[in-house]
Formats: sequence, C-alpha cells, structure tokens
Amino acid sequence: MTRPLAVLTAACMAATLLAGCGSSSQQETTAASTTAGGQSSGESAATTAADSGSGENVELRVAWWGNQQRTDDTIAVFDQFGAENNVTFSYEYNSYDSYWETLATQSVGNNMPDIIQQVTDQFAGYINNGLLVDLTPYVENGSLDLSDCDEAYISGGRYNGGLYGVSLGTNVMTIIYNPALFEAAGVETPSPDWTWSDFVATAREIYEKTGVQTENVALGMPRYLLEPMIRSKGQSLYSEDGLGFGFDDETKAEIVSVIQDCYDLVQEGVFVDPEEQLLWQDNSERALCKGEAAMGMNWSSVFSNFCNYYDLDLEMANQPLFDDATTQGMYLRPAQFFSVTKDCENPEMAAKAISYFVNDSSANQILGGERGIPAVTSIREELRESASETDKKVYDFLDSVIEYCRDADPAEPSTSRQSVEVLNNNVTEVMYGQMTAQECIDSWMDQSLEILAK
Amino acid sequence: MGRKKSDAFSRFIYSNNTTGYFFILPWLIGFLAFTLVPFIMSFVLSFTNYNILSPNTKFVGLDNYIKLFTNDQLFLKSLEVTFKFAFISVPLRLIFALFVAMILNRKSKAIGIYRVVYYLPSIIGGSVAVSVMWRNLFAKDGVVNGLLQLIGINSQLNWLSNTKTALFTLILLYVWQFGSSMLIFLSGLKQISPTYYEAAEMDGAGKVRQFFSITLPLLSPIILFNLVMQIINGFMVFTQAQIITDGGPVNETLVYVLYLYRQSFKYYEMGYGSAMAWILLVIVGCFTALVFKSSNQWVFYENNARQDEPNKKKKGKKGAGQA
Repeated sequence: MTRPLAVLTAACMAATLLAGCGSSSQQETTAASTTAGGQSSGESAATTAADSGSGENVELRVAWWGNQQRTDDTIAVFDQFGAENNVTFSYEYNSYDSYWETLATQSVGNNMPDIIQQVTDQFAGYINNGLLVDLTPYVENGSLDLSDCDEAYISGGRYNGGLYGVSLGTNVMTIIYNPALFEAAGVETPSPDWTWSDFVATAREIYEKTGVQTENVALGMPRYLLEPMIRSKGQSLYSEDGLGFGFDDETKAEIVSVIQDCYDLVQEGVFVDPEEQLLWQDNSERALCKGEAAMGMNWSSVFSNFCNYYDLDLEMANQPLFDDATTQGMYLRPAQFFSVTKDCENPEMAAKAISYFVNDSSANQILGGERGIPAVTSIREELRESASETDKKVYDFLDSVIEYCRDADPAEPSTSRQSVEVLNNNVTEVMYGQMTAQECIDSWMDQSLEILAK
Repeated sequence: MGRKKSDAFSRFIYSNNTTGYFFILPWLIGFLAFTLVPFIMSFVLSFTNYNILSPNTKFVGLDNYIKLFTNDQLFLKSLEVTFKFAFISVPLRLIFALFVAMILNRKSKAIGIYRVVYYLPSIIGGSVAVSVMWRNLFAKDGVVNGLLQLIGINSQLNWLSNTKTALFTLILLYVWQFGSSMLIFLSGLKQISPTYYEAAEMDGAGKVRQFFSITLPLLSPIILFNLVMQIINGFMVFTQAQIITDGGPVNETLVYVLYLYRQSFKYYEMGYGSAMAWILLVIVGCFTALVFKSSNQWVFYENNARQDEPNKKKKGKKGAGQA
C-alpha cells in the first residue's frame, strides 16, 4: 500500500536524512596546494585584498550545473584561486534538474554549498526565503570588484535593493534568422527597430515566395516574446510588489492579438506545425538549425551552436516590439550568476573568490566565455579577440543591442516560474486549437494572481 | 550472578526470534527509515503548506485537499489521463500476458528461450533507454511510420505530439511489458491438472469450451492477484510519461504521478504533493478493495469445501508473486 508514495517517500527522506549528509556522489575535494600557484594574478582587487584571510585555511564549497568542459574549467579556476589564498575548495556539480533538487534539499538541512550557481527564474524564491546573502557590503569593502562592469550587465543580480548574484555571462533574447533564405525570397533582412507586424509580414512574405517556414516564436518561451513588447510601452510583466501584473488592459489586448497572430500563422502554414516543434528535444533538431526555417527566437548564448550544427551562416536581430512602442523593451539577462548562500561561514572569502572568477584575466582565459558574454569590460575585450567568427558576432550583437535595452525589471516574484508555466501551457493549447487567444491570456492572468499571492 | 546473566544473554542471543530479527534487520531498518517514517511524515505534511525553500511552514487543515478538487484543473486532467491509462492498459496487459502464457504452456525444447525473450521487455521496459527508443520509433520519420509506409499507408503522423495518439503510444509501451504477469499466469497454468482437460476431451468439449470452462475458472485466483498488482502499477506509471512525452502534448499524457512530481520537485510544493500522494493512495485502495469485494463472485477456489482454505491459498499466491 505504500508503493504509491514512492516519489513522496524520496522527498521526505531527502528532507530528513540526505540534507544532513551533504549531497551528491559527484563530490570532489581538491586540496588547494596540489595545484601550482604562481600564475600571474593580474590586476584584480580580490587578490590584493586577500591577505586578510591568510593564516588559517578556509574551506569553501562551490556548486554548479553544466557540461564536462564547464566542470573542468571551473575547478581549474577555483583551484588556482585557492592556491593563492590558502582556500580549500570542494566541488559539487550536477545536471540541471538534479542540481535544483539537491540544492533545495540542502537548504532544508542548512547545508547549502557556500557558492552556488543561480538563474533568474529561481533567484527570487531563494532570496525571498532568506537563503542568499546580500553582496553589497562586500562590493563596498572592495572584496567584490564590479567597478569594470556596465550596470546593464549586472543589474540582473539586483533584487529589492540588494545584490544577490554576480553575472557569469550575459544573454539576450534575440530573433535568429537565416540571411540566405531571406535572400532567396528577396525579402529585406530585419531592421533593428522592426515591430511585431513587420515580423509577421516578413514571415508571411518569405513563406509565400519560397514556402520556407518560420519557427513558432510563441511556442516554448512565450514569456520572452511578450515581455519586451510589454516593456516597450513603459510597462512591466509583473507589478512592482510582485503580486500581480504590471500592464494595462490596452496592452493586454495587444498581447492577445499577438497570440492570435501566431495561431493564424500556424493555420496558414507560415509557422512550423506545433506537433512537429514540440518534438524538438535537442536544439540540433530545430528547423532553424537545419536551415529549414527562416527565423526563430532564442538566447544569444546558443547562437554559436545554432550556426555550428549544420554549418549555417545565421544572424541575430532585435526582438520585434509593439507598433506603438514608446521605449526600449529588450533587456540583458545574466545567463547565470554566482550567489553566496546563508550557510556560508566566510562570505567575504566567497565574495573574493567570485571576484577573482569574473575579473582575473588568466582565470577567464581558462573559462573562455563558456558561460556567456562576460560582464567585466576588460575581460570582454580580451575574449573578443580570441573568439571564433560566430562568437564574435555575439559580442558585436551585444554591443549593438545595448541601446535597445533598458535595465531588467527588478521584481521577479518567487512563484513566477509557475505562472510562466501556466502561460506556456495555455499558449500550447491555443496552437493546438483547444483554446482561443483571449481565453489563453485571461486564464493565465486569473490563475497567476492566485499563484503570485502565495 | 554474572553467570546467570550471561546465561540469559546467550539464551537471548541464540533464541530463534533474535536470529530471525537479526537477519531481517537490514530490511527492517530500510523499511522504518525509508518507508514508514516518510509515510507518516507525508501524511502530516499533506495538511501543511510546506514548501522546501520556505522556512514558514503552517498547518492549513484541509486546504490542500480542497484546492485540489475545486481549483486545480491540471489535477483533474491528470486524474482523467491516469484513469484512461489504467482502464485501457491493465486489461490489455492481462489479456496479452494470458495469451502469451497459453502459447508458452506447451512442451517444446526452445520454450526456455521463448520465456526469456518474452520476459525481457519487463526488465528493460521501464528503463530510460527504452523510453528513448520509443521516442525514436514513433517519430515522424521513425520506424512505425516507415512500416506503415511499407504496407501502403502514407503516415505523416507525429505519434507523440498528436493529442489523439500520444497516450496510446504510452499504453502500448506499458502493455509490451507484460512479462511478470505472464510468468505468474504460466505457473498457474502449470498447476491445472491435465486430467480435467482429458475428461473434457472425452466429453467432447472443444478448445474454446475448455478454455472458458476449465482454464479461466481454475486460473481466477491468479487473475485476481495479477489484476490487483497491475491496477496498483497502472496508477503509478511515471517514467515513460516523463521521458517520452513529458506530459505533453497539451497535458494529454500528464499522468498523476508526473504531476505530483512536478508540484513537489519543480515548484517545491511538498505539502501539496503529499496531499496528492494520499489521494492516490485512497484511489488505489478503493479499487483494490472493490476488486477483492467482487472476487467472491468470480474467483473460484478448487478446494472450496473448507471455508478457510481460499484465504490461505490467496496468501500463498501473493507471497510467491512478490518474491
């Protein structure tokens, strides 16, 4: 009779027992002394201020998700810092889903790693429950050097007036397009200030002339399609208190018509059939990456990969905004941060380690911008020079896009993820013809109000 | 004095009970720590708003249960999907298992190999690898569409993202893993004395008549056992739905446990998830009770002369099955 509870059983045990014994099998401790010191530590303020901690050995645990490359590089950099500052690091790395499950259970046992990798949509939940440390004091005392960062690059780590995360790489949502297919259709490539109706017209024209489809930009990440549009009218997705929405009825009507447009385009065959699009589990399966679609929407961080799967010459364009846009709508979003948790006994040293991670030149030669475009200006310039052709496009695009961006909205509610999931679900139903665009947005907003109030 | 004590001690140590408990200790610890304690905890948690990340856990009474039934469309949807899944796949699986068991219940040299081959899917079928394979089989340019093409049907169907076929492909995978029921049926079939069949043949009964008048009644206790076990399993299906379709398209394959998992581990709503788990327990419990209640109408025990015999037999079967 207890078998139906198998899943829950795991949950409760995790809560009671596992939390006490640290986490994964993938733990690895490396004594700092095993790596040779002596690398040039460059101009980072972190290393100059590091003497305060010397004398006794500090232990820090670092956790992240990612592939083997990221794991190797991250360990190398922290070992390097550890050797110079008498810090012993231990590492916990995992796949994305297991990472969050492990971290959540560790938080119950007050046993989180000292430095953790964070993302925007989990961020607020951790902060609102008091699990992360405000890093502002360490910026003020010089342990964490962010002097060489543009505000646009680091504003994603701010929340309720505090700084809870340091961006490890910057991302921006873009329309990725295939210029060859535009040329074949004789259609002009997107201009930086194009609007949603331009986008729809372009997609339609290409399809009518050559039969080439466009990926359904509402399916999968509708939030990132709509948010810049909402922001372009000087409004925001969520209200300032995070308990509701930050846009008015007029904007809502415009959102509904965007979703309706997408449904119409599916019916006309301009957009890829949702049945097909839902089956893409890996990016390499995408029509855009195979050279079969003219446009798609995705993060700048995946651009290089998109080009490389089938050796395509792709380009990036700004996101389309409302026709009556009054201000910038796009925003830079940290692909991930490093945050310091409340369970950290030596947050100052953790801040120094993060500072080294983002500022040190030799460290970033190892990291090679794998986490995204670095926030620190001098590092960004250094990496740009050694970047590949497609990576250079990303650096250049970020430079050009910044005038179309304004700071990310600060108030991302803790339960935003759940609300976004409702939207995803509703939009999918629209594309399958099981819901109207109006119902989709209405029911999303209704359900979200309850979710956000939690 | 000391001697007496050590006598008592050695009596204690060497007594059969102590030895017995000692031997089941590993299981006992596992049961207490990983089954009983969580079991009780989840019951308590189901009355709280426990969220893993949040330190503010409060008792909320029946709120979770009320919300599930009155204000959670996905919950109702997942119930619907799971019922559909269980009611179609469980009978299909049992029929299929019985069918194959009948075929394998013959004397042949290669029977051992056949038995292994037919049992294999149950061992590997629940695994991630097979789920991934299933995805590829039912892709648009996959094997299934290819086979249909061969027989002249030009199928461009996306089996797994079409709302009408997605659940069906999962049911097919589930039915394919009929091995354990089959083995139990097989052992049941072997216990039926051939004299019945010989007598029936003498009286001129055909194969079909023999099946319905001899095989089915004599097999009914085993059918009961298999039915109960499969109902429990059917309601708990998870892996396939998560890996092959991830609940999609449009929640057509959002089975109950998958939704439970999402609430608990994706949104960290453990209290809510616990409430869901207990509702599932009650549902499965009801169906099992229903089956047992109805069993005296259709389950036939060979030696029904003595009233206590059927129970004994049932217990024996159950033990054998679980082992």
